[in-house]
Amino acid sequence: MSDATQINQPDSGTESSSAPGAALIGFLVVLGGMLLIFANSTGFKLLPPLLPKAISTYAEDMDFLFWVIFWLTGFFFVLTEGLLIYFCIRFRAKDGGKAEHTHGNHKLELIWTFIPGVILFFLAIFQLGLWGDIKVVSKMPAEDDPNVQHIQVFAKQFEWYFRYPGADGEFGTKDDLTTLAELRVPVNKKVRIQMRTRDVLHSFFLPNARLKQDLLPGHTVPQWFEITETGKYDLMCAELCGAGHTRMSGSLIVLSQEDFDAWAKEAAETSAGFGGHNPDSLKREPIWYWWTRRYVRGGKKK
Amino acid sequence: MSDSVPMDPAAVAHEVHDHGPPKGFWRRWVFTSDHKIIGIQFLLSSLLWGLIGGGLAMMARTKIAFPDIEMGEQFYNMSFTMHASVMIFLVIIPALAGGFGNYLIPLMIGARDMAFPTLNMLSYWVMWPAFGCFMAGFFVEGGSAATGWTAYPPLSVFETGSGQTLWATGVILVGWSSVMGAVNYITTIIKLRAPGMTLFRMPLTVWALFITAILQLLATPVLASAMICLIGERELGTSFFLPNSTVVGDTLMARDGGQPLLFQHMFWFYSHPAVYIMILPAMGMVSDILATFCRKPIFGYRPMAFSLMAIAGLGFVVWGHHMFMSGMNPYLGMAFTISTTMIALPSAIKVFNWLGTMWGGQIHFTSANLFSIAFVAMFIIGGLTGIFMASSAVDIHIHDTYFIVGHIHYVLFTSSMIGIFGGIYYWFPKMFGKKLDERLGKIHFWLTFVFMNGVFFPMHYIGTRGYPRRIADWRNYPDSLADLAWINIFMTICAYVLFLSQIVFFWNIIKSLRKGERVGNNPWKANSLEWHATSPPWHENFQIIPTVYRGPYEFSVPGADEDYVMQTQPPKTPAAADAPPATDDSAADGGAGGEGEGDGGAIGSGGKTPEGEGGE
Repeated sequence: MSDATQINQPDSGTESSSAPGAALIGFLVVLGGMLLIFANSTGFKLLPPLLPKAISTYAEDMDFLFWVIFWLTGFFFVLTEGLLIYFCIRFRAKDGGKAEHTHGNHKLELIWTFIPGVILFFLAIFQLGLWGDIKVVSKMPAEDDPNVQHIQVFAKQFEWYFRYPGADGEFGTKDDLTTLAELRVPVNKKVRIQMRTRDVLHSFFLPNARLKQDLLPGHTVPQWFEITETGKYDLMCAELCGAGHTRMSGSLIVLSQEDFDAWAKEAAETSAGFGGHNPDSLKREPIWYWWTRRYVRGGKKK
Repeated sequence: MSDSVPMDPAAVAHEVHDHGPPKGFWRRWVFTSDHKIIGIQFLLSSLLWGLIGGGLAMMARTKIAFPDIEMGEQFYNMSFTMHASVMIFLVIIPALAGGFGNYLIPLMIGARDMAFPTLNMLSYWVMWPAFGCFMAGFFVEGGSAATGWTAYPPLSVFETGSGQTLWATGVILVGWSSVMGAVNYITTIIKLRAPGMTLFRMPLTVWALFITAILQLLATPVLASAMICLIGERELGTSFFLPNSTVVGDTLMARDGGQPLLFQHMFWFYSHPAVYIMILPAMGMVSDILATFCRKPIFGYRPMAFSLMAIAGLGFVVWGHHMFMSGMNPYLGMAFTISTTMIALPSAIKVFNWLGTMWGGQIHFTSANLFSIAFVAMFIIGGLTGIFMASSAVDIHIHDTYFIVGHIHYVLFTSSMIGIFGGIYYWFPKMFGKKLDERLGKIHFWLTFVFMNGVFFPMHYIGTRGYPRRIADWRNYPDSLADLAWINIFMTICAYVLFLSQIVFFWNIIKSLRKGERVGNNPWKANSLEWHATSPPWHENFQIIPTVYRGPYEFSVPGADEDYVMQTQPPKTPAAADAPPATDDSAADGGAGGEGEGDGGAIGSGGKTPEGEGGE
């Protein structure tokens, strides 16, 4: 009987003690990490923060949701990995030992289907509200709301342009302001942006404001945010947009309303120009021309 | 025997003939239609391609950690694009579906070969032109594809150079190979099972490969059409994906009415199921390895099989979570959030059942089993981080950051690839008649295990801090990313060691092939049919097609002579069966009918057999 359970491997005796031992050490390290993070979230700042500084009105809600998922998954992580390690130690092969013979347990299957199922479904429903508040167009500030700062975002390879309506509150008039790479917004005021790209996909990513949205060629994509702290923050491009993708950085500069108004007045004269963004000003290339360029005249298109 | 189960006439005819392997080196070893050789060819070539894919990853990681080095941003884009493409299309999919699928399916179900052996040969040999297309990109003007493995238009249309077109051609060829393989697997599993091998007596590896094949068959054509449209956009000036008023340089393109989101939908309609194509076979293999080395029946065989089906079914309705930020209707995002969150459930069921399999077992820490246990441990991490991504609201922050890079590597490297390693350690004795060296195997395991976590775990942290993926030089965002630079260097060094650790693995293969320990038919004392064949199996697998009497996981049966009862072992005669030989005391419905098969009693065409159905 005993040689039936002994798999013919010479070193099973030594390994059966070292493998679970090493796994246990790894697990304790991970568990320690979890405790450190827990300490962090309760005020003992031992680690750098897991999330960047939150500066928008919905950032707090999103971070709360993040932590809900973190601790839920963290619980199941510790539970399952802990059981795994415990089983590795408790049930390591012993000479003459015999495994249980069972094909399963119907009740257990029901329990571990039902409980995670309910938790997961709850999570999915629970987070819909926040998603809707940020992304659903009908919940955004209206396009003609005068109490909202309206800004147009134009992206091209590898630059961000921003256009402000100027004093008259209308886009496409003479007093429009345009900036390159610097998005200036007033603090504590809702900002509605209209985003367009003229060439490829880009993604407008404000890590501190917890906002990300791809820009789609051929579409105008609206978004909104409200920043609660002044300062200078990074604006990133989060969608691969070509060779210079890594350089497509910008900054979000949050000013008090007075500073913002002062800047707008001052910048009215020194606008950065429009960078050839108005598609109407460009010559449309007929398809036969593209064909000859691609195949007859050397295939270079630049 | 012949009356025991409905059988395909062709298989019956096969039972009497026995001709040897084809004469001649080329027909036998190179352009062979023998599923075992094809499987080994798939495995070895994907391992070699994996070295290239790994090398490309090292280049990309070097640039990330040390942005000062002389490497162009476009070359960086090429290296991570081709790293992902090679690893996904030329390593994980061919190794799992092509390699293990080909090698194991006929052996495990008791067939002499695949249903369509020539098609099988073709499915391997189109992989080489695909590899050629991928690699040729590096030698043409403009370089290889550099738009990420997702190749989103309009960027993938505007990129100059032929690399992107070659890439799309290569993907079509890989898809062609997948479809040829999938047709073969499905037909073989449905038609060529040995007598007594009902669907619910198949090892979970076969179940997983079966469901994978269905996924491949249904999803791959959509990818192929996306790629054909992409080639049309690039080479013919069509307008599937380009809207009007797109501008390149200073020219307004003469394209009208296209929609970039169309490509994303088509791409992810394949590529999300592809994620399951890349993990399900590993899940099946791990189930078999765990059961063997815990000397226990798999816990909840049927829930395991049904959860595979649930993953595959749900896998077709979750692709939109890749597109939460793409600008599609946010209400669609809500629907995809719910389906995506729920797909975590069958994965959770599988994890709990693996734990149940280990509970009360006699766990032998062989190299194969170490990799399998690591698979479970790492898949838990990959699965749980998926829940963050599935929640569309949290995804707003972590989408396209390193968090997703960490998540995908926890699923694809630390799970799928670890599963492949485990499978190689486990079935190597069957393939070559020699064991891989256990000591080297354990060194390989611990090096891989420690350093893969060193590479991939910190990615979650820098991801939540907002580090975008596919960024060559973090110094463009000094405010946000400066304090993460040392983590990048740490990860890159771990990646170097991880890459170099694989030398141990290759050395182990070479050493063991030359002078490994010779083994018999069943070195691990496992139950399924492949261990009934010789090691390595004879040209047509079995001298006589075996008859199957029970499920594949009858380990440690009380009262049995040994702690395993092979599927081929006939039950004791009913007269002597006071102690039921292979029935499960916990399965109330299994006891009575289980003995009926001993005297060749009809098993019925419904495919339901009483034995081995415990836990129902």
